Amino acid sequence: MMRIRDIGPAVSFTWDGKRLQGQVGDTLASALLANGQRVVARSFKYHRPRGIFTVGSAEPNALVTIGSGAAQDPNIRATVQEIYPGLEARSQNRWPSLGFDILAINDLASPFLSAGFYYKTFMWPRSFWEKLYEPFIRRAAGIGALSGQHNADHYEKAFAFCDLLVIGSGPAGLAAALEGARAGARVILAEDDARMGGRLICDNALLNDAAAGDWVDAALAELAAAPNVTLMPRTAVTGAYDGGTFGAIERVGLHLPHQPELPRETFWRISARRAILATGAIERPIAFANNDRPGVMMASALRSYLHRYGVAAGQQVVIFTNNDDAYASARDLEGAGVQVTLVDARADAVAPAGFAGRFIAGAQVCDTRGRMGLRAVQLRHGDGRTEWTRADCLGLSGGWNPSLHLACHMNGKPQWDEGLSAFLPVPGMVPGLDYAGAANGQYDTAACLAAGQTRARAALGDLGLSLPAAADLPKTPQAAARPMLPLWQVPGKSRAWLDFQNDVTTKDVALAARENYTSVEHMKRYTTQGMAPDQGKNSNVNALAVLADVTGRSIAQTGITTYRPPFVPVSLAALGAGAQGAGFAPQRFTTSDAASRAMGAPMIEAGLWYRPSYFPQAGETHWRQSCDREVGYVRNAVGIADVSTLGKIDIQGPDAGAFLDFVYTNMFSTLPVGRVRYGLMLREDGHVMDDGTTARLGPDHYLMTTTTAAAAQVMKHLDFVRQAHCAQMQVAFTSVTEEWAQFAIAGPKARGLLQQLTGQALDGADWPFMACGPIALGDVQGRLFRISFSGEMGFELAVPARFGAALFDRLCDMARDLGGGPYGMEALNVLRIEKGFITHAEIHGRVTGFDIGMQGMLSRKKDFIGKAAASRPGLLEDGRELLVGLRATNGSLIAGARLFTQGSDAVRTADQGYITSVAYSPTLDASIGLGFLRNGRARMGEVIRVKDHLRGVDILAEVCNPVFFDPEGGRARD
Amino acid sequence: MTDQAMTLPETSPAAGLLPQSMGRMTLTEWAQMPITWVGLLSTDVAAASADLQAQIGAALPAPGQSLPCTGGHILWAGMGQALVMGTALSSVAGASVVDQSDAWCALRLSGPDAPAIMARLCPLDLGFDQFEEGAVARSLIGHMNGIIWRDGADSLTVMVYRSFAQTLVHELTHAMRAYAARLALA
Amino acid sequence: MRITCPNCGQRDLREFTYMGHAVALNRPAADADLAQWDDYLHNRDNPAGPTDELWYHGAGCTAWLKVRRDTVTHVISDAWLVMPPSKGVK
Repeated sequence: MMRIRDIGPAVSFTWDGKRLQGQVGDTLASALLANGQRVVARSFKYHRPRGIFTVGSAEPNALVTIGSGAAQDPNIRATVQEIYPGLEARSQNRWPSLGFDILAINDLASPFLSAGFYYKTFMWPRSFWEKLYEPFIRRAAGIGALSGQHNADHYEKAFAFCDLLVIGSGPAGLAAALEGARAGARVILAEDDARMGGRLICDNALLNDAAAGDWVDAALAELAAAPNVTLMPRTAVTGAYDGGTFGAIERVGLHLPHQPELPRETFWRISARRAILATGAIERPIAFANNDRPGVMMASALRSYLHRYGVAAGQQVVIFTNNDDAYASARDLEGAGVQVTLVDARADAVAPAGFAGRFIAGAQVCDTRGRMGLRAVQLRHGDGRTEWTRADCLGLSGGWNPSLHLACHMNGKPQWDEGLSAFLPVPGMVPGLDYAGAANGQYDTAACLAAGQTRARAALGDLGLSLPAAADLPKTPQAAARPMLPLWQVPGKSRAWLDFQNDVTTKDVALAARENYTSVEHMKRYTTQGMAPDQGKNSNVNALAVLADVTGRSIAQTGITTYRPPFVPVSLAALGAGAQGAGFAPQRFTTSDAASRAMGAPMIEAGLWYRPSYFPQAGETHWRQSCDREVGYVRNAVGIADVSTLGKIDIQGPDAGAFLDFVYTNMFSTLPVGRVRYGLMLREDGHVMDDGTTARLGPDHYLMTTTTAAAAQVMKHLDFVRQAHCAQMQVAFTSVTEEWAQFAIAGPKARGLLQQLTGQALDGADWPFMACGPIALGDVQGRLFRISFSGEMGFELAVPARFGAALFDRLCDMARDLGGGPYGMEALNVLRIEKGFITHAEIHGRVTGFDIGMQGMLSRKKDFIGKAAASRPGLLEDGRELLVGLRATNGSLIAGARLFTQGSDAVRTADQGYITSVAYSPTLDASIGLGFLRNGRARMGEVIRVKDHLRGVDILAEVCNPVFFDPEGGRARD
Repeated sequence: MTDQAMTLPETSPAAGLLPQSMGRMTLTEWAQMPITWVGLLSTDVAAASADLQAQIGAALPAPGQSLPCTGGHILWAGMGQALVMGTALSSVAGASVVDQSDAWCALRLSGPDAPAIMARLCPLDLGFDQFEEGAVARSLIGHMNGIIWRDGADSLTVMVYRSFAQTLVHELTHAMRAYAARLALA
Repeated sequence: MRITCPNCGQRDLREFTYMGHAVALNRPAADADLAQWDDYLHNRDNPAGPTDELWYHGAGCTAWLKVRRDTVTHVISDAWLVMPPSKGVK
């Protein structure tokens, strides 16, 4: 093997630490071939030395690792990786080296490692599985390895739209794209390769009596200049999905030295009104003994390496074929000075005109020699005589398989064509997708060009576009091809490979059939044929042909397995682009967020929001110290908390009250203007959806609040009720969560603080408990609500959000002057538990109004969402778990603990309930909590057992009123 | 002691984060302006449209449209909804009126690559030949619900709720940076 | 999958959330017997073929849509607004 023609300036790269020279335009594979690297990998199971097998996307052998460090990329096909200055490439699956690999011992053990061996071995003794077998298999399994470190490289996802998506840029694809361009349609031409042109730039073909590359260049120039055409090289279309959606992976930066801001890959979602599958065909090998040695390649790949990369893959080449296409490789190699022997399995074959090498008709290759690189092949002539002949390279051609995978992605099955000896796509398998060229079984260039043009014009016509005259297609030389002779395997004693990537041989398929795994789906899973990263592109048809043979069926009867996306491997980094770490979800910040963080508050997530957990002060070393202090602020002085995150929904209209009466269990149309009322909202199945307070700001104007994390869900529910059940009402609502920054000012000194801030008296007559209304802070128009989630004298003050940051600072300063300060979520939670106020920890989706003791809020006078279902006897019966308070007697409560009658076994069948929220109450110096206990309301004073099996807590607690502190509620009222 | 002469300083949603320029693109924040949400009380639009015409010189826009009006523009903003950008209204016949001047983070993405930048974030076809000047859409920007408005020959205004400002700036500038790097290759 | 919203045009599925069968639109009277309510809440036909279901265009115009979808082919053949459209707006 050697470079016989330069293709570009020199480029240095390393292979297994060795510095080598390639040229601009090389793939790693062509550069390795040019440097005489015969062995590039060790096979998956048997660790057999392997060389480069193909020239393109379907490469099964040459999987390498590119790069080092965090972004090390394993299992990269060397035939796809373009070289660049400083490229680092390493072989895989070998230790200590490619040349000497200890696990090649597997090859000797191959009789014990055939298909399904893992169902029959490693079973005994059972204890050995976890300690010995699994760790060993895990270390030995796989091919390449990830670094295990965080990868900080950029990846991208994006959307694209077009009228016509052309998949593949060979003759069919180019002809189709040209029609789309000239019709003024929006065209995307996607090509997996770095260069467009398909086989036209790999073969020594003529178009219009000139080099085919000339016509390709002209076509691409026209397409590049058209503003309605987007050329997407290095872009593999990976999947066909519903509604004309296609997935595609674009290699943006993988062919260049690392650039920090450039995405490495972009994963595209392409929405195409029509599409043309012009993906060509994949040449298939022939199975015979030892057909997997380094130096055995596909015949068409030999001429691609020659014409496109200037590399002769061998000096003494044997071509073994059952069809005419491989003749071009034989002729072209001979023309480059290579010694060629052409072996045609067809007995009636005739040497191609002008061929000076050795031609043998009616013969087969039946064995090879040369473990670290092909040295000789064995021929069996038509009369049965065998001979060994020297060869350093063997080109195989068993025919061509249309590359129709995308057409099958919506569960359509292709159809076997006996005449072509190939599967063909069936019209309509993917709505809007048509086929042209070799992908549709049309193997000559003239047919490809014509089909691309015709199918594109049909698709564009379907879209209602008026088409100009069809483009002139270039002339191609006529060639009459003689029929191929189906040939799947050559008899022999040694193993003959089908799936190179998973090391599956014809013996494995025969074994599967003998063990009665005769369905092609079973054969696939039992042997793992077709399940490697290459998804059987070189082996599927051959394997099922062997299975058909062994089970006495036709290929059509045997059938084919299902092709699924992705067509090529797609990195998870690309699929998850933008979603690593904090990028996983949007982040929502309140107007007080920066100030809270500046005060050192650790932030917790509430839905997408961040809220301060507590505000540590100098000298505090544990969060409980801060939390206890903040609870003290609210009980004894004044505390400030940002409550902006709760959903706020503005509801207006003559029927606003009636609408609220329908969504809440209690009445809101009777709420006086200037008052706030607590409301309970059920799902239609009678369980609690949310609770909150709703204020009446005017005769037709209400403001509803929702729990922070339920805001979107409640809005969706309100939209449904309004549109589905209340379409005749005059009402409109919108979220104002973000319009207002809102702060709780809570504690005995809260009124004093607000008097100072607003200059208003805010006495109990004008502002009774649960009053609301507008209030001015200088020029700022705010709103004030006298409500309390802490049980203390409390207000919530809302201002337009632009003033939120400044107001929070002002409120904290004023609170500090009064011996208080800001308080966070920990303290907020302690305060509300002390008062028995529930949150979604209690209304977790499986409780009813009855369960939480609010059955009195379910109006008898009106219909409301959930009313009928809530009246189901089962939701009202004895024995339901009811909300109670719990006070530990000998330890600390823990949320999630189960409840049991004292003295009973703590087993599932004796379970009496569970704890939902807990807190240490500095106010009461006790561990308290809320929970649900069977018949809880009738068990006040009972001491019960509290057990958390997972965290080893087993204590006693007294059942009590969930309102632990100030049960009459006097502290919040005047 | 009362504090009646108090003033509260204002903070804009993307304060401190913008403007930023990369490649051929610039990202800026709209200056604070009145934004009024208008929501039809019923399916009868006549009263609301007539009153809006009288107050701001434009009726309710059809879905996907915006119209110039007193103070700025009125944007279709969803089922029976519109946003008046630039004028505060206190009432509209047959409709609910809500001040949303502080609820939104409104950023303008200017430059020829605006559709390509948005293609990284939004599942809509925003190509300048498809999404005409004045067009409005509600859709996703990343995982955020938002409004996209073509407010100029080569600019798109993107609006999300205020609390998402940092995420929006991050997503847009990240896409701008990556696209500029891609263009630099050519 | 894409749904054609009557307000917004053809949109990617990610803008929508699914509720369930369109029978949810036929809410029984408050005093209907519990068997009717049980059917309304819990029991559904499960055809292999066209079915009518409810989707919410939450990331779009916030309209609730009744959508006809074929459960075998995933083809969406039609979509209507649950609430009658505004009169006087095109």
